[in-house]
Formats: sequence, structure tokens, C-alpha cells
Amino acid sequence: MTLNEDIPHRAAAIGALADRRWRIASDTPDARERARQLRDHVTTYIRPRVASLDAPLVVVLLGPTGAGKSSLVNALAGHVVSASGVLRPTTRVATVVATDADAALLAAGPLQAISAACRYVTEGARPGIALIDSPDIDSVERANRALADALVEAADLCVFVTTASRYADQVPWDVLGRAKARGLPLLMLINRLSPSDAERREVLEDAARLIGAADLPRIDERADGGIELLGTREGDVDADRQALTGDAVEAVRSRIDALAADRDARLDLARRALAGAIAGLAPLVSRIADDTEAQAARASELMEDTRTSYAAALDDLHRELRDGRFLREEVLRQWHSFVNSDQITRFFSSGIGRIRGALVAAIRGTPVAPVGTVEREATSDVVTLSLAIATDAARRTAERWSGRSAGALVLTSAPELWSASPTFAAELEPRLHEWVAGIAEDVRTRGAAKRTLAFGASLGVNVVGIAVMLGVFAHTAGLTGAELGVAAGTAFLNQKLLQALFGEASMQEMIGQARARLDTILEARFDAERARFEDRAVPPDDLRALAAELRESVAVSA
Amino acid sequence: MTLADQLDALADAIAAAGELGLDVSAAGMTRDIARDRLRFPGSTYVLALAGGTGVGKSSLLNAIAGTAVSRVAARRPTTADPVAWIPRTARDELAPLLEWLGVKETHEHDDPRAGGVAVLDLPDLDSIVPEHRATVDELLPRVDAVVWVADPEKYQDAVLHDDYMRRWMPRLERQLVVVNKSDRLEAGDAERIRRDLAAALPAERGTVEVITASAASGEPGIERLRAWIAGGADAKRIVSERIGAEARAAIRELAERAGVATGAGELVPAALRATALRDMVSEALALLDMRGLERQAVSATRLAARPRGAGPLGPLTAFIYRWSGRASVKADPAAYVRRWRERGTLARVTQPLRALVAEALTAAPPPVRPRVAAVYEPRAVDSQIAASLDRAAATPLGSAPTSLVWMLIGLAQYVVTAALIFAALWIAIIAFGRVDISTVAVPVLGPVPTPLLVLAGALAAGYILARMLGAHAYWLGRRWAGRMRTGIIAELQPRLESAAIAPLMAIDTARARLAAAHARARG
Repeated sequence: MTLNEDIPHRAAAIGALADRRWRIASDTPDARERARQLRDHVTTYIRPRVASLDAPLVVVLLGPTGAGKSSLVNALAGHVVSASGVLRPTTRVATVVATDADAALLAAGPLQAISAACRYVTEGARPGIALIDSPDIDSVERANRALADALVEAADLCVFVTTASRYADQVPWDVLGRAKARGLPLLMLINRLSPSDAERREVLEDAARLIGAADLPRIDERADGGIELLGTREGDVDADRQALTGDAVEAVRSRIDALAADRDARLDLARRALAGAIAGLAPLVSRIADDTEAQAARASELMEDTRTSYAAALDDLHRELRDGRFLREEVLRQWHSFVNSDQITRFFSSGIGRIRGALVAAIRGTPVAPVGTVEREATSDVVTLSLAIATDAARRTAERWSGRSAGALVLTSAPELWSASPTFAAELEPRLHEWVAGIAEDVRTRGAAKRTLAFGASLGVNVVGIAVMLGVFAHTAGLTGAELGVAAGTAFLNQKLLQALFGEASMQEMIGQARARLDTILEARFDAERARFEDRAVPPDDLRALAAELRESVAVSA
Repeated sequence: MTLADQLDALADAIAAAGELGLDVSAAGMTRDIARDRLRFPGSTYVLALAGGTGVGKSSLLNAIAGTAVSRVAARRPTTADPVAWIPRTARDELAPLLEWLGVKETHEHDDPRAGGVAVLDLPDLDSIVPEHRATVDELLPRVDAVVWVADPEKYQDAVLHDDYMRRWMPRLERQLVVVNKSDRLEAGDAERIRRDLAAALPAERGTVEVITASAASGEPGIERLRAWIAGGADAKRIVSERIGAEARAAIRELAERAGVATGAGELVPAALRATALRDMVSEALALLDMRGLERQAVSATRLAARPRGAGPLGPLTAFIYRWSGRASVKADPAAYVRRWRERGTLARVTQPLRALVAEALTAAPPPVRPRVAAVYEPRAVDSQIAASLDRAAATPLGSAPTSLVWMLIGLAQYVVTAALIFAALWIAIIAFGRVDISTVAVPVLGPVPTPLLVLAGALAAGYILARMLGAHAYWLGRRWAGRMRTGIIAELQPRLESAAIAPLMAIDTARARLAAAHARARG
């Protein structure tokens, strides 16, 4: 017995995709559930079955709480292997009835992930067949449901056990829906039927109608095309109430005995189940691709929210920085009184002003420039302004995110996103001081090339550097400076001084470079702020790529 | 606590939660249903039998009634529409109430032992027919009492526990849990199941009675059930307790979402708020530029002093100063303060508020955070704070102070000027006059001739007087600036508080109101 050459490759490819999808956190419970189904199905069923068609056949007894799964497994094993009782839920672990050799194969293969929740027993085991009594699917014990869901993915054959009062419950039908989707062959047993023949017939007919409407997969081809539906009566239990009795149980037992006796029949069932499973993957995989694309779209929205808020914030910041009003006048006034002193203005005035300046400079010397204060205060003003804008950007982004479910989820666990990072100022400030130092360095290299800088040297590189720095923030576009406030007045004088030192073109270039470097620093800081949000969303491009690969994988198998 | 108080508390809680930006639609629905239910007063209350398909709700009702009221069948699910079993005497009274509930099928009885109760047999809550569940969800908030029906198979179903009992048990006062089909169990097993189920009920509700019964065999459980149903004699009390429980649960849910179910601490401590306000005020004063104000005030005071205290030349220099326009730039404190926008941005003023809001956001539970964040909506807040600064800058600052001292100095300057002129004339006459002065002895004080001495003395006195005037005006100007500063702060502080701190306080107030409503409703 061999498989189509293609199947191992395809199984490996889909397995890799399933693992990748599972590692990315889903943003809705349904998507998460589907990603889990695919991963479980691949790891517990497809891979082991592809590896060996001859591995023990996994027969899972599945059903709601109190339906009599344990009583059935006891009846099939011929021993009390699983506790049944009146208290619900009865079974909290999966009881695996298998020979030691089969159990070892299973524990290393299909049941590896859930082996902690499995109890292995050998009494009544048939070689080549593992009979698993799963915990219920619908009790308050949520872990039971998870375990049962995992077993649905691992099974080769399912005996679905329900009762006369349960057969129309919603939860079991949800589970049957998954069994149908993955092409799992089914056998259905309805316990606790009424002793009245008429009522028993009514229930069996109604159940058959529901099963027919649901188009569930069959255990084998039958003349009427229907699923195998069996029933036991209320009270069909043996004296110590641990095992079911009756014709129906005999029917199930004989089916399983037949499979146990006939290796070819087992292999045939395994092969058909695998083929059905592979064919049945397409809908689930394309649903997951849809989920992934939808998640990518939602992630894109979050990214877009973030991008627009921070882009707007940077624009605001640039605008505010250009017009220089954010510098407090207190700071500018100090600089103004320095550059407006006769000793400095003589550098760029003519006639009497120049003579007077030279005279005063000769008598009093050049005044001390408030370099330290101005640098400190100006950078602190830049930091304050940037922090204010970064805080607003964070708040705006968080507000948008909180309007979207995926974003709201992130914010719940990360309230710090609502404002700028607490280290914002501490991170930006040293960068700005480096920036000012860089300007001074630029002044030094340019000055070395210019002889006219003799007097500039007498001012000191740092003083000229501050002049350039202020030139970045406050730039008078052709204003005269006569009737303006301190800010514009300072800018005017500053510009005059720099023009005298470097010439118009060189000054513009220097200021332009300094401005570009400042923009780079601020952009880097705002990028870091934005990344706080972006790092918490899954990259949409990764998701889209994954979705495309998922689709491709089913397009191949279709 | 009366029902009216409970409903007041609910209305209060809804209003407060609305202010906090919470979704109040569920609580509003509770309030509306309560209002509607109270429009049907009467001596009969409505009891519903609720449970999964096949547990025997209809069989139980038939067993209680002693006749076939509700259809029983093996095919699942059976009951699609609610069936009511009502006392014939209460038919007219119940008709509008049953219509409100949407119950069409009613069966009347004349059993006086059944008590004043309308028993509803509800559809199932767990079958593959979703409409049944929708009907149950529609009716459960409207009925007055519930008998939860389970059976040995279904008593631990997740749907029953997680979707129904956990939500509705805290919202019901009169309720009972029945484990039906006890005839299928041995006596000991029935009791074990009863205890297992009782232990699984939601703890916060307190004890809900759990009994076992058998509709099929009619064992004593049915009698107990019948007695329990008939025992709720006072319909009015049952209805009002039920509505009260609903209101309490709705309030508690709102309180939990607002994070005040266990008391409402302030989002930010008062000390932090006070610090933030103080920082904002001091940054606002820096922006209005109090030092600049002082310089302006001193200039203005000096300008005012000049015509009075500078002697004959004072009025002239003061006139030139004004005429040239320098006075309005350099000596107009009010206009200077009003021009604060030219001197800086609000970023520093609003930063303490930003930090405060960030603090509050971390402290607030997630559903309230958007509301907290809205406290700092830059456009709105900035314009309000700017308006506060404008109003503070428009504080009447008074005109420059004057002083009698200046008059005295002015008089003295006139005397000095007179002396100066006298000395000058004297010297001029001696030096250039054609007058024969050889006969006149020029008085000499020591080696220096008196006219020179007088000249020098007058010059020195004039200088000293001018300096005194300047110093005095400086002192007065600074004092004036101090008064203006106090006036501006008095204007600024309350305005900043109401523009920036008050919205945050409003959130705390709303939370406190919600917490108070919660505490009141709990009694």
C-alpha cells in the first residue's frame, strides 16, 4: 500500500504553513480556533498518517456529557476501563485503549501534543486499533472541550454517542460540523431511547433526517447512502452500570472487531480517511487564508492610523520649529542684547557704527556671550515642544486604535501607549546637544578655510555655532528687523552677523545642513515613538504573504 | 430601600456612566423593561420554566397542572413558542401583561392551590433551532421568577451554566433549580447530583434552592415544586424585588466597567493635580513674561515721574519720549502682557496637563480611557487655555503710580535750577561783564570762589535729585508690577483650573456618582 507521491510533499507544505499561522496571534476567537484546527489536524493526523498508513487506527468515541461514551468503551473493551457515573462530567482525561506497542506509537505520533491528558489502558485492547474515550464536548469543564476538539482532528474513525434528549443540541452539531468538514468517517449511536417503539422510531427518524440534512461523511458506502445510525434503549446497561448492552453495541463491536481482524480493511479505511482529509483541507485552509487577509486588512488599518497621526505630528513639529515662536523670549533677549552690542554690530555695520564699535571693543573688550544658557534653554524648548507633539500623536493614535477591536485589545494591556514614551525627553536631549556640538564642528571646518573668519575666531566657535542654531529656528525671510519683536530682531541681527562671517550662500548652506540634521534627529525619535505602536501590530505584508501561500497550497491540491 | 430608590440609583448610574463614555445600552434596556413591567400592576406574577431541550419543562408543567397543558414529545426540540398556564380569575388582569411578553398560547385553570402565578413554559435554550434561544433571551429579562430545569444528563452543561445561570441568577430574586427525571436515578445518586449542581451555581448570588423531582413518577419533588410556586403569594413584592435585582445587577455591571465596583479612588491624587496646576500657572506667568512686565512697569513709572519730579526739563523729555512712540513700546505694561502670543507657545503651559492626563490614563480602566484622553483634546484645551491667558492679560492693571515725593523732588529741582542759573549768571557777569567789579569783593569760601562753588553744588544736587527720583520710581514701579502680578495670578489660577483640571475632576465626579449609586443600590 503506497500513497500518491505528491501527498507527503503537500502535507509537509501545509504543515509548515499551519505552524506559521499558529505562531502569529489571531485577532478574533474564530480565526484562532480555525488556526488551531488546522495545526492540530496536521500534527495529530496528517503527518503521522502520511508517515505510516499502517499505524494503529484511531477510533474516537465522541459526544456530549452524560451520553454514555464511557459505558460504550467499557462495553467494547469488555472491561471497566473508563469510569462512568451519575456525576457530570464523568471523564476529564482521554482514555486510550490500545496494546502497549500501539500505545507507544501513538504517544510518539498523533497523541504527542495531548499525551499529558491521555490515560493508556491495555485491557481489552485490539492490536492495530486504538479506542479512545474522549471527554465530553459541552460541559462546564472547558478543558474537556479543547481535548475533545484535538481528538476530532486526530481520529481515523469516529463513533459519535448522543442520547434521545440530546440529539438536537447545538453544541454536538457544531462538533459534527467539523467532523464533516475534515471528512472524518462517522458512526452514530443514540442512547437512552424510549422503551415505546413509536417514540423510538420517531426519534431515530428525526435524527436520520437531521443527519441527512447535514450530509455527514459515512463510515462506508451503503446502499441507502445514509450514515450508520444505531440506538440503545433507556436501561440498556449491565448490572453494575458500567457498560452498555444491546444489539447496537454488538453492531459497533462487530464493526471494530472486523477492522481489527482485517489489516487490509484497516489500511483501506486509513487511506480513504487520509484522502478525504486532504481533500477536506481546502475549505478550512481557504477560510484561514480569508481570516489572515482580514487580519492583514485590520492590521493595515492600525498601521495607517499610526502612520497618519505621526506624519501629521511631524508636520506640526516642523512648522512650529520653523517659525521660531516656541523659543521663549527670555532666552532670545539674552542673545539679542549680545548680538546687538556695539562690539558685535561693528562686524556688519559701516561708518560711525563701525568706529564706535571698534572703540568700545578696545575699551571694554568683547562681551561674554550667553552660550551655555541659550543652548540649554533653546534645546529644552525644542524638547518641550517635541514632547507635547509626541504626546498628542500618541493620544490621537491610541484614540483611533481604541475604536478598532484589534487595537483596543492591544491598548488594554498597554495603557502606556496612550502617551509619549516616558523616556522621550531623556532620549532626545543628548541628541540635541550632540547636534549643537556638530554645528560648532561645522563652523570650525568652514572657518579654517576662510581668512575672513579672523574676527569670528575672536568670538569663538561656540558663539558662532549658537548663532547658526538660532538661525535654524528663526529665519527672517527678507524682513528689515526694525519694527519687529525680539524674535525677529534677533534673527535679523544673527543673520547679519553670519552673513558677515561666511557670506550669504555659505550661511544658507550651513543653516540648511544644520536644519536637515535636526530633522533627521527628530524624525528618528518620532519613528521610535511610532514603532511602539507598530511593533504591537502584526506586519500586514507578512500576513498577506502567508494568505497567498495558503491559497496557493490548496489551489495545488484542488 | 424602596424600588423607586433602586430605579433612581439606576438612572443616576446610567447618567454617570454616560458621562464616562461607557456603553449604557444594556442598562438602558433594563431601565425601560422595568418601566414597562411596572405598568402592569396586579396580584399575579410571571414564572418561567427555563432549561435545555429534553429536560422535561413541559412535562413538569403538566405534572403541576395535573393535565396536558404543554405538548410533550420525543422529537427534539418540542416547544417552539411559550405556553402560559394561568388562573382563570386573573385572565383579564394578565391579558395585557402576556401580550407585552408576546405569549399567545394560554391555558386557564381553576386550581385555587396553584396561587396567583402565571407559569410560562419556555422553549429550550440549547437546541439547533436558534429561534428558540432568541425567544428565551427575549423573555428572561421580562419574567418575574424562574424555575431552572435540568436533568441528570444535562445538569452540568456549559450553555446552561455559562450562558444563562451565571448571567441571570444574580438578576433574579425568586428562583429555584429543579433536577428532573430523578426517577431514573437511585436515591443516593439523586442527592449527589443535587449537591454537585448546588456547588456549581454562581457563588455571588447566595444560595439558590436546588430540588430533585420527577415529572414522570410524580414523587414528592412535584409537591415541593407546586408548594414553592404557590408560596410566592405576594406578587407585588416579587415583581418589585425582581426589578430591584435587575437594577442592582445593571448598576454593578456599569460600576465594574468603570472600575468603581469596589470604591472609587481618584484617578489622580489631589496632590498631583495641585502640583500640575501650580506648574501650569508658573509656566503661564513665564509666558506672559512677568520680568518683562516689571521692566515695562518700571519704565512707565519713570515716565510718569519725569514731568513731576525732573524739574523744568522733565516735561520736555517726557513729551519727546511719548511723541517718539517709545513710550508705547517700552512703557505700556498692559499692552506688553497682551502680546504674549508673540513671545512663545503654549507647549510649556500645557505640558503638566499632558503628564497629568497620562497618569490618569494608566490609572483608568480601559473602557473609561477614551473619555480620559478626550480631556486633552489639543485644539479645545489649547484654545481654552489661550483664552484664560487672554483674560488674565486683560486684568485691569491700573495706571502708573504717582507720589508726592516726586513733587518735592521736582520743587527741589526748580530750586537747584534757580541756583544753577544764578551761579551761571554770576560767573558770566564776572567773566564777561563790562561791570567794574574791582570794587566788589567776590566772596570766597576757602580757596574757591563762591559762584563756582554754587554752580558745582547745584549740579551735584541736581544729579543726586534725578537719581533719587529714578530710584524712587523704580521702587514704586516694582511694587506696581508686584500688584499686577498678584492680580494676574488671581485671574489666571481659577481659569486654568476650570479649563484644565476641572474636566479631569468631572470624570472623578462621575465615577464617584456611579460608585455612590452602586453602594446605594447594594443597600
